[in-house]
Amino acid sequence: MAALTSATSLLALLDEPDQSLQVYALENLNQLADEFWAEIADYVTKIEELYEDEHFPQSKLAALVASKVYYNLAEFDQSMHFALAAGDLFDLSVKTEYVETIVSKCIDSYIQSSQEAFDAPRKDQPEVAPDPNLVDVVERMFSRCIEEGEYKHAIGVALEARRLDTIEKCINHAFQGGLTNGKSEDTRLLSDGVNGIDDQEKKFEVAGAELINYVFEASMALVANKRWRDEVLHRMVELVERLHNPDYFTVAKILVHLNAAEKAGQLLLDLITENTESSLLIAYQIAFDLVSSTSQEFLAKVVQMVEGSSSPGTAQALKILSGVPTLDIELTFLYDNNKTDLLILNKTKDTLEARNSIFHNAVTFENAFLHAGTTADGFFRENLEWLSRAMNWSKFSATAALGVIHKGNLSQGMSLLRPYLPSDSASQAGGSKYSQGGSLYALGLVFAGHGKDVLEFLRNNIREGSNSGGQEAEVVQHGAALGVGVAGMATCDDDIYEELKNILFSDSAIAGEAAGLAMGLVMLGSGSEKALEEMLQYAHETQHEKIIRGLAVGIALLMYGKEEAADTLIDQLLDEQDPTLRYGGIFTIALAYCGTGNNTAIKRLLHVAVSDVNDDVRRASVMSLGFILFRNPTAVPRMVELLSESYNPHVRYGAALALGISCAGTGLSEAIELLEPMLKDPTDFVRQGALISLAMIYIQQNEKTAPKVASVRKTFAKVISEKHEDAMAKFGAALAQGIIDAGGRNVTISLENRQTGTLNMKAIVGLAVFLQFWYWFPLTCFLSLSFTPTAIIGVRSDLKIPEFSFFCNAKPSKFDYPPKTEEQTSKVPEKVATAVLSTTARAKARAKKSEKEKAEAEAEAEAEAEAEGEMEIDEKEPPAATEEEPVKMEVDGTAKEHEEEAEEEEEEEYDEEVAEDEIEDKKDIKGHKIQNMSRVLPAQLKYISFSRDERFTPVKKFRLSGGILVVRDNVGLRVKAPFIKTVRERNLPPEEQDEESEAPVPEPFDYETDTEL
Amino acid sequence: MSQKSFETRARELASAFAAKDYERCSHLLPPLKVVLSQLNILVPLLSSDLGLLAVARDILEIGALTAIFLRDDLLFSRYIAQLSPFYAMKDKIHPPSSNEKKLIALRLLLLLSKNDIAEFHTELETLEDEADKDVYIRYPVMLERWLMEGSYDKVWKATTQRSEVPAEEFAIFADVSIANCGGTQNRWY
Repeated sequence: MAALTSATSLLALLDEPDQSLQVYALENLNQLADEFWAEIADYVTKIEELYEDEHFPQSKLAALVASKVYYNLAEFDQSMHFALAAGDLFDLSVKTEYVETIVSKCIDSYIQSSQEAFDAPRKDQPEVAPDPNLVDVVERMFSRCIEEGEYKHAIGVALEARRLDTIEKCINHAFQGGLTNGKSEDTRLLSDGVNGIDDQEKKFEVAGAELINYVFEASMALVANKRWRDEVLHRMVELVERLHNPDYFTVAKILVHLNAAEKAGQLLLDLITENTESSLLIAYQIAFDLVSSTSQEFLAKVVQMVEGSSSPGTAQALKILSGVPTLDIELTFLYDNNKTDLLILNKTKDTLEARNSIFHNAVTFENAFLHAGTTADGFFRENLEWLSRAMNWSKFSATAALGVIHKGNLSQGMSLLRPYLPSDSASQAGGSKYSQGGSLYALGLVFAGHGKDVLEFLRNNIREGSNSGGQEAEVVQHGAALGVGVAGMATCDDDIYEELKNILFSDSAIAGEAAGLAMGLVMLGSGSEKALEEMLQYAHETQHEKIIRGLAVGIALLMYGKEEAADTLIDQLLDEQDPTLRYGGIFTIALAYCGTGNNTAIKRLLHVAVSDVNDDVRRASVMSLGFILFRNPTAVPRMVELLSESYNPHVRYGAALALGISCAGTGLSEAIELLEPMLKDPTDFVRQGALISLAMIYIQQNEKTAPKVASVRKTFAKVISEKHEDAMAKFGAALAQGIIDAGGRNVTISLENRQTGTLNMKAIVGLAVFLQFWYWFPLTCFLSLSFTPTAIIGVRSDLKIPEFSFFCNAKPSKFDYPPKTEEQTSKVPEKVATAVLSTTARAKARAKKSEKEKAEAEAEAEAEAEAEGEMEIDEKEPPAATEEEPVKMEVDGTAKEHEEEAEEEEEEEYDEEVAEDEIEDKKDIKGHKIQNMSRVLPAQLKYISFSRDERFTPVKKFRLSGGILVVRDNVGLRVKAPFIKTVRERNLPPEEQDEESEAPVPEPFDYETDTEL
Repeated sequence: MSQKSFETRARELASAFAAKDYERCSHLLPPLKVVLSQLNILVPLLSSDLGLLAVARDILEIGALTAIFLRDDLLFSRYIAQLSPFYAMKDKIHPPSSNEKKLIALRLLLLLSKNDIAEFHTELETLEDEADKDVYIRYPVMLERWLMEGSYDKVWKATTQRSEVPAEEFAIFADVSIANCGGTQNRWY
């Protein structure tokens, strides 16, 4: 049957005097509106008249028809207006494009109005209540979502519309088991490990807890308004606490975000007081998480709360909270798994002329980064002659580099650095002021963020320095101030602040710069009014540009994470005459809005990036984009694409670093595509920036995860060896080599804490200060604060690291260490060959020939031996097993059983390998076992699973977060198990040790003997 | 409303129309249209009863003719608009309408009389090719042609001499249209 070809007949009915005919026409038009809207559009005024006619019985119907017509005319605002007027006739459940468009339009406008109402409520203007019809539509949408179990949709909208009540309703509904019919939900929960469907309540609770987690994540990622976010999070904490069996880890996470130290302390206290096995384990895990993700000030408050308890677990918890075990464990990991390729470093050292201080610095920093936190200072020991060429500030940096290498080595840090530290007796005799200053700075780096033990010592040096005076003393003060800043980061200690202020007021350029920076570091994120005022005032008074810069960055640090609260200061700084202060203003934006993706901040930065008259300010504002957007790295390449082609080299440099900062460790190919052309940039420092950023992005990537990484590494080496390359670019390439293999290839740059999803304060601050190396090379060392070890380390409740394994469902080769550079053994026969060619006499040649054969045979044998030596990087061999074997042997004799097991497994695998030789792919997918405390890349985490049958299982549900996991010992503490010893334990005197120590005690070395040049 | 009473009403209307009692027709029609709408045949939809559509069409045609006799051109236009979907699907509705061409021709004449030449030609274009062989349709077409040519004597003859008019409704309309023509001519000259 043919349908209507025109709506004219129906439209004619609208003019009928009889209302029932008009209604009839409208009813039919309503059905046909999408088809004949063009014809109806001519009559829309008539339809509107009907809607407005009070006597017309179906005015809502008229409104609906009008709405549909306007929708088709793409007049969405009008359409929404009439759809709302249609009231309940506007059916939300129909799945048409029209309904969806209008509903989303409604929600958008509702969100807009309610956000406005929430965000600026204290205006005098009377609050405009949103259109009741609008509210009605949104409400209906909410209740439909809730009924259908689509909580996440409802929560998403509610979060944006500032509707706490709806969020709560969703969660409560989930707890009461609203989704009895949600089959998919059931299966998912089952697979999550909830046993038995009978246990309804538990299931709902899990669903509810999951939702709370969702709210948490969504509010972190999407909510830009801090006040609202805090409100939501507070409410979530209350909700979680009401549960019978709350997810303490979620609570802890939220508390960290809220920076609610008291509540976190209370939580820990409760868990410890409960004093069951599992509650203690949870408490320990939370303590570890807190240590890795909060500031010293936060931890100090938590410790204060916990100290009061007398439960048996208290001591252990306090020990963890002190941060020492975390550092020990991480240090041990880095020490044991150090995979630094010394060949690269040595080659760079040989190529770069040490007499030139920039090159000396470059190699120093490369070495520092390569060995950051591994305690492997062998390079210095082997190259004393090279080291001795360090002059003045190079010497300062070289000594500071020692601190980077021993970062976190709390137990030995002091004794290692003692030979260089200024002391009462031997200070004048012992080495130059530069190494003294450097060693103070190094001390700070070793104790970064855990400065309790050394702060007093460092402060003494500050005081002494200010008493003695003189140009030399400045250097020591400079080092001491930086050291205090790093070690006392975010302690908000007023006494330290005052002492630093005294240095500042001495108005010495060198010491003052460090003091300004250190003041910011100590008061990090406090937003202290007093500090702000004093620093700003002095910045206006002083003549020294260096001091102004130090203060500017210090001020930026004060406002770390403050978001909207920093706005007035930002306005003030950006209006300054002095470009250095504007530069500080830009960094204030970067740090205050770090990781928020805040649109206003981005707009502001982009504006400054193209409008400021000063190159430094422009460069900084482009770089800062990286900080703000690091949670959303894919957005950055698009944003800086045009800037990376700017005519201004400073803007190009900024674009390069913005990519490096935001995409660090991701290997994002879009970013690489932008950076590669910059390697050929005509300006030397742009090339430098591109090199550094490439290294930051490619850190820990191998050729499987990022195919271009090999060629990038070659580029680094090429830039360094190229004769005509500029010094700046060479410096960048050396740093890049250090960064890409940093920390013995076991660390990454991650600005976010994996455990809690909070900002990684140390990493962000480290990176922000590192960027100041543009002006002052020693600040390069700050990058080491950004390095985070990538490992999964299971720790038992007695803080011992048991040996056990977990499963990685991916090819071993996929996340393997990149291969070491080949030693050039092949050159040996070549040399012999040239020798042969030079001879003329045949007899000689014959004689040589036999010799050559011999040599070749030798070379071959050598090469074979070489190959065997490199077996651990061979893909066919399960790498974890081979790597761990020597450790086992050394550490514990009783590990033999395990070893045998491992061997058996190996054999099994080997058999399979033979059988499936041809279908290699299949074998590759199978996955492999990984030993406890070995490298697990962030990208690898999703392949990791823990076996239930193992003796040790993690307490926390494994949620793609590596780091330190407290494990439950399913057998019991009494049963002996093989453990991995921490470096600290290995270094204890033998009588205190259970077994023989294998780890060498690093001896202090002296490179000062022949230095005084 | 049962079908029976609908049919009696329809018959009542037909007889009133046959008796040329147009006043009565105009009273009968509106309620009948409501009935048609209730039976879902006022507009031929996919769901309408095919058998009844012919009846509905006849009723609407009577309405259109009545409107002419009552000299209500707005009402007439509405009826024509409502009839158009019926005519669009005439091969589905049996028996075919005997009044279709006549009504279309009347509509053309109405348009002509209102000097709405654009709409007139649009309407003409939608007709099939052989349409102007039809005696009814030819009438407005020729009138328009003569008007364009300026052959007013022919127009005058065609509209005033009863023998030239194809049906009596045309005569009624012709009165109106000539009055209008005169008006427009005055404007033209």
